[in-house]
Amino acid sequence: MTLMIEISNLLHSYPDGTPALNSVNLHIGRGEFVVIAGRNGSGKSSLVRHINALLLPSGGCVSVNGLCTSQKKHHPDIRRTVGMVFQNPDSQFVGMTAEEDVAFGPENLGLPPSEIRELVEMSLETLGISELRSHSPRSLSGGQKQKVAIAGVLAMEPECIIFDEVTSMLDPFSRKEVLDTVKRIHAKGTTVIYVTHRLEEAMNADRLVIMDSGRVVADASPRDVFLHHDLEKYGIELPPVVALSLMLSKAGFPDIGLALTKDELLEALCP
Amino acid sequence: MSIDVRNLTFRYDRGTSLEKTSLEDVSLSIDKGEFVLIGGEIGSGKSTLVRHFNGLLKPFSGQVTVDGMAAHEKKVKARVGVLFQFPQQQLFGRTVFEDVAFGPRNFGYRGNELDLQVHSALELLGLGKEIYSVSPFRLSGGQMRLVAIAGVLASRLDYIVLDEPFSGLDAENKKILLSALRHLNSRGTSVIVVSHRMSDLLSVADRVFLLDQGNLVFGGTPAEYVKHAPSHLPEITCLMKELRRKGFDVRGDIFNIDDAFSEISRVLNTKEAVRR
Repeated sequence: MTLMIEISNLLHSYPDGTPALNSVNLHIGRGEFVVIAGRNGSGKSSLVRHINALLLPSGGCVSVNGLCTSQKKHHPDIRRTVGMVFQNPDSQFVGMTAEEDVAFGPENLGLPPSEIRELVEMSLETLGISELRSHSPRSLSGGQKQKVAIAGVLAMEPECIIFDEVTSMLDPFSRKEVLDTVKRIHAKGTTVIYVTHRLEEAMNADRLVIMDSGRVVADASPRDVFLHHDLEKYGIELPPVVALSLMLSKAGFPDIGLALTKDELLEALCP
Repeated sequence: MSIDVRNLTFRYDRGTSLEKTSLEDVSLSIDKGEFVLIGGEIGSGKSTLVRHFNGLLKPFSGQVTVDGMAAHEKKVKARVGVLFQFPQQQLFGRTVFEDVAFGPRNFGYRGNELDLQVHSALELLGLGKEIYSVSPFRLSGGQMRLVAIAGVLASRLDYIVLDEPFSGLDAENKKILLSALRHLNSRGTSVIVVSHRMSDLLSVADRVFLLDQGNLVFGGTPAEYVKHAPSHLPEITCLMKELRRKGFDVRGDIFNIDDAFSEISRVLNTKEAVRR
């Protein structure tokens, strides 16, 4: 796998000197699906904001495709490579209609109108929201708004998209829809960095990275992280099924083992 | 003493082409001292419903009363506090202390009594003295939410309504908030929580209401809910129900991990004993 994002000994301090990130090392390859989880204030949002140069290192280095974020001349390239979707879509809308909003990014890249039209079509289609094109983003539901926001980032065809707690304001149904979209985008080859504190959403990831007090405290496959780390210590709640399967296997029913999903646990209990 | 909703119907954008029914003939009553969970998907009308409890919205038809008074009367505001979904947007104080003190000060508390209420609310939510003089906008997202919630708790209202208070809070802060709410409830405050994540609260709520597309489709105890509710069952309940269907003899009305654990262990142990 080609290395895409390289974070070495990253330090970040707030203006008053309190450290937000403390010697973070993280390498992400092209096409990976990495979930970053951690309690409120663990540094996960600060970390990902370094990847598209919204924050700059107080020490150490962050580079994207070999371009270092501490050099300002690289910022346009880096931001073109790495797109970002935030928690609250309301704060990101600029267009009068969903379509205009999605077109805003590619317009700013200075692309010819025919290409813009194509990119907007493709993005609306991938998100399954073509019929919402002429709606005002503000009149949409939470899940629909978040999809418009994602389409807007997708239309710029970034190589990597960071999703920063994009589902935390959504109901279970919209959450699943948005998560399925993220998986689809990843399947098409985009590198995905997905920040959440709901580990249910990490099951399909290649890697699960756990942050605590500004440090990376675990970095492995979701299965290995659940088996070898005490996540409660880091203020992270295990998904109910995972917690139940671990309780059972530790309490004298070792055959049950770790189950990541309800179906896995059903299979273990009623083979 | 109760909040009574009788045949409440509400429409957004009344008289325009966008007119949309948001609540349809909803009736329910919440007694003082109850811990109530109102669930349903986004767009089901739950936020619209609770905005009637302190008169932020006026019924299109039907009525909403609080302790016998129409909910939009000014006096009701001192009884019902509503905390919105993005409480951090309700922050505006220069310091955390000032922000939390705003509510109780408006309700006439002054001096030592005011101090005491602000302190106890912040303490209840695990927020230490070191942040009292900090600007609320310097805090992390989770802490900002807790500060906004402290403002409502400090106002000592009879009914507090929280709209999706857990979204965006991590496991630890969720626990802190939940135990704060239980504490207030044990002192007699009615706690009304609007949430689409019902599994977190089924173990603590006295009663559960479920809305679907503006209609009230369920009202009853948590135990009745997991037995009869048409949808929105916690994953653990689904698991237990599916196990039953596969002939695994566990109870189907379980909604928390600890009960599921003892129930499954019981059955596994019996199976083991039979095998021997």
